[in-house]
Amino acid sequence: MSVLHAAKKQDIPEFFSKDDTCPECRSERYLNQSMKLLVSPCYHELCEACVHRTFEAGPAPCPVCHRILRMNEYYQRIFEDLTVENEVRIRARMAMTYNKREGDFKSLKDYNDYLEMVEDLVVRQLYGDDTGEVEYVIEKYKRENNSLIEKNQSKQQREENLHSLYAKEERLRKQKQREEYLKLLEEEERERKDAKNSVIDALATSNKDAREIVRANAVKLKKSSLSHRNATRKAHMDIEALLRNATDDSDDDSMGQNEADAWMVDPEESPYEPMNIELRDKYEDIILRTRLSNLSGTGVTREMHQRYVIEGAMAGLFEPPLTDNSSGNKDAES
Amino acid sequence: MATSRPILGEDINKETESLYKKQRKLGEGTYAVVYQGQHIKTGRTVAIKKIKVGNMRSGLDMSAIREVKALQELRHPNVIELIDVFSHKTNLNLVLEFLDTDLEIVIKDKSLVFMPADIKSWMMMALRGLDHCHRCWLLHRDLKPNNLLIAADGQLKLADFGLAREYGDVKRAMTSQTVTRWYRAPELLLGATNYSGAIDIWAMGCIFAELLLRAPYLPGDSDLEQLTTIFKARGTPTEEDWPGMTKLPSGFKFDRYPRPQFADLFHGASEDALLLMNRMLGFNPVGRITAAEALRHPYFTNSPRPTRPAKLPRPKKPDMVEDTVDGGEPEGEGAQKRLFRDIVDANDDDLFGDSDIAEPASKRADMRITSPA
Repeated sequence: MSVLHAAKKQDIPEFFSKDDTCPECRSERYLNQSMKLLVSPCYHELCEACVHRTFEAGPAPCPVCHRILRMNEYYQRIFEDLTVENEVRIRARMAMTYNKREGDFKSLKDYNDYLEMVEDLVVRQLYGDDTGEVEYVIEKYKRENNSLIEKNQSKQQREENLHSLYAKEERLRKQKQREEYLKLLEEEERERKDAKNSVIDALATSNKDAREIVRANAVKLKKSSLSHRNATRKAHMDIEALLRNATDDSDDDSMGQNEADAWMVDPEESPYEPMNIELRDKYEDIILRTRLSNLSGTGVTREMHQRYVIEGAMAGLFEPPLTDNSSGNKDAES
Repeated sequence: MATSRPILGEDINKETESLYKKQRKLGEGTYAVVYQGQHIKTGRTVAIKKIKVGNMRSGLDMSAIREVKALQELRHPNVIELIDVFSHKTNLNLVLEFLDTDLEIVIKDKSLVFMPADIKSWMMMALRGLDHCHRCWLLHRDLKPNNLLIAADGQLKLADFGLAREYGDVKRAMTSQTVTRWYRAPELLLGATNYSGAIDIWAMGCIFAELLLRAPYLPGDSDLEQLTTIFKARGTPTEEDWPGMTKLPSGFKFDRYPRPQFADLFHGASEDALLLMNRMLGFNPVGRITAAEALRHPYFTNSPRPTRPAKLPRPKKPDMVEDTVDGGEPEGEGAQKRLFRDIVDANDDDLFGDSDIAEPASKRADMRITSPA
C-alpha cells in the first residue's frame, strides 16, 4: 500500500510522456498540454475528459475491453510500465488484507509459509487466468480473519501517525533553530547601525576634534563587531553541533575535510583599510532626487552616489607619498 | 646616459621594454596576441598582452584603455596584477601576471571532484577580489568562470578588465549592453542606463550556481530568451519584489512563472550556501547582497572551512612543449593556449570589436607568426 499512499501524500508526480494519446478522443499531449491520462482497473488508458463524458451517467463499459467500470475506479498512473503499475496495485490491495506480522505466528517457519502463500496469490493474479478462484480465496480469508485484520490495520494506522508526528516535530525544531540564528544576525546588524548613530550624535553635540571622534569610534566599532562576529560564529557552531547530533552524522558535510586542508582565514581580511565615512541620513538634494527618480529599479541609490562623491574627494588625502615605483621588481623578488 | 638631455618618456619606455623578453605565443584573437614572457633580471614568468593598435581604424581600442586604467588602480591578491606597460612601434604591450588556468577549465574538467569546502574557497577569493574592485568604485562588468584565473599557488584572481568601468556617478549614462549574456543581471536586460555593483554580484551568483551544478545555471539563447530563462528559474518578479522594475526602459509585462524551490535543483548544497546564493540572485538590485556583506555571511565562517588555495583541485597540466623560443607554435591546443585565446576573444565584444577582421584565430596564427622582440 505504501507506494500508492506515498504517491498521494508526497505528491510523487504521475507518469506522463510527450507522445501520450487518448485512445478514445485522439487528443494528444502535443496539442493539449494539460491533458491527464487516467488508467482503469483493467489497465486501459483514457483521458480525463473522456472519463467524465463516458461515466457521468453511472457505470459503463470500458471502451477497450467492455468491462463494466465506474468513474471513481479510474486513477492516475505513476509508472511508465503498466505491468509494474498493475503489480503495485495488486500488492497494495493484498497488503490491506494479508497484514499479519511476524509476531502473529508461533515460529519463523509459519511466517515464511504465510508469506509464500501471499506471494503465490499475487503471482496467480498477475499471470494466471483463474482470477475468480483467487478472489474466492481472498474473500474466504477475509471472512475468517476479520478481527485480526482490523486489529493490525488500526495498529499500522497508529504507527503511521506516530511517524508523521516525529517528522513534524523534527521539522519544527530545525525551523526554530534557523529562526534563532537569523535573529542573531539581525541583532548584529542593528548593533552596527546603533554604533554608527552614536558617532553621528557625538559629532553633532560634542566640540572635540571631529577626526578624533571618528577615529576613536572606528576602533571601537571594529572591536565590537569582531567580538560579536566571534559570538555569532560560536553560536552557529553550537547549533550546527546540535543538528549534527540530532540528524545522525552520516551526511555531515565537513566530513572528508582534514585539519590541514582547512583555510583558517577571516573572509573579510583585506590588505586595505576601508575608508570610514558616515553619511548624514537627512541630507537632501533636489537635483539628485529628480535624477534618482528616473533611475528607480536600477540599483543606483542616493547613498551610493554621495559616498562616491565624498570618497572621490577624500581619496588619498591621508596617504603617505609613494617612494618606490619599481613595483615589478619588488614583487618578483618577494 | 646623456647628461645634458632630460629623461624623456621614450627613454623610460625603452628601459621598460628591455626588462622583458617574449618567449612564445600563447594565443591570439582579433584584439590582442598573448605571449609568455620573462622578466630578464628575476626570471619571473609573465604574460605579455600585445594589443594590435595598427588594426584599429579609430585610434586605440577602448577596452585597452579601460583595462590599463582599471588595473593601475587595483592591487589585491585576488586581482590580476598589471606589472608594466610599454609600447613597441605602434603596439601597446601590457605585462601581466602569468596565471596557469581558469575556473571554466576547472568546472569543465569532469575528472575533478569538488568538495563543498572547495567551492567556498573559490567563492571567497572571487568575492574578496570583487569587493576590492567595488571599494575602488570599479565595476568589472564581465565576470564569468572564464575570467576568473587561477594561479599556480591556487589563488583565484579576477582578470580581463577590458569592460571595467568606474561607477557611482548618477550623472553619467552607462551602456546596458555589457556582461556575457548568461551572467547578465536582470536590470541590464531591462535596459538600465545606470547601475551599481549589484550587476557583478548577480554574475557571481550565477558562477556560484555553476560551481554547484557543474553546468551554466541560466543559459539563455538570446537576449530576450535570457530574461525568460531567468524568470523560469527564479520566478517572475512583481513590482513588490523589485520596486521600479516596470519603470525600466524595457520593463513591461512578462509571462508569469512561479518561483521554483532552490533546493530542488541544488541537492548537495548546504542550507547556508543556498541562503547566500538566494541573496546574490535577488531581483531587486538595491536589496541584493553586496560583496562586503556577502563576505560577512555565515556561509564563509561555518564548517567546513574553505579549502586552503594550494589544496584546491586543479586540472592536470596538458603536455606542453617547454621553452619553445622564437615563435615555435606548440602543436595542438594546450589549456594555456586555449585560455589566453579565450581572454583575447572575450574582448571581441560587438561594442568594440572590428567585425571585418574577424577570422578563425587558428588560421591567422599560421599566417602571421610574429618573431619575439
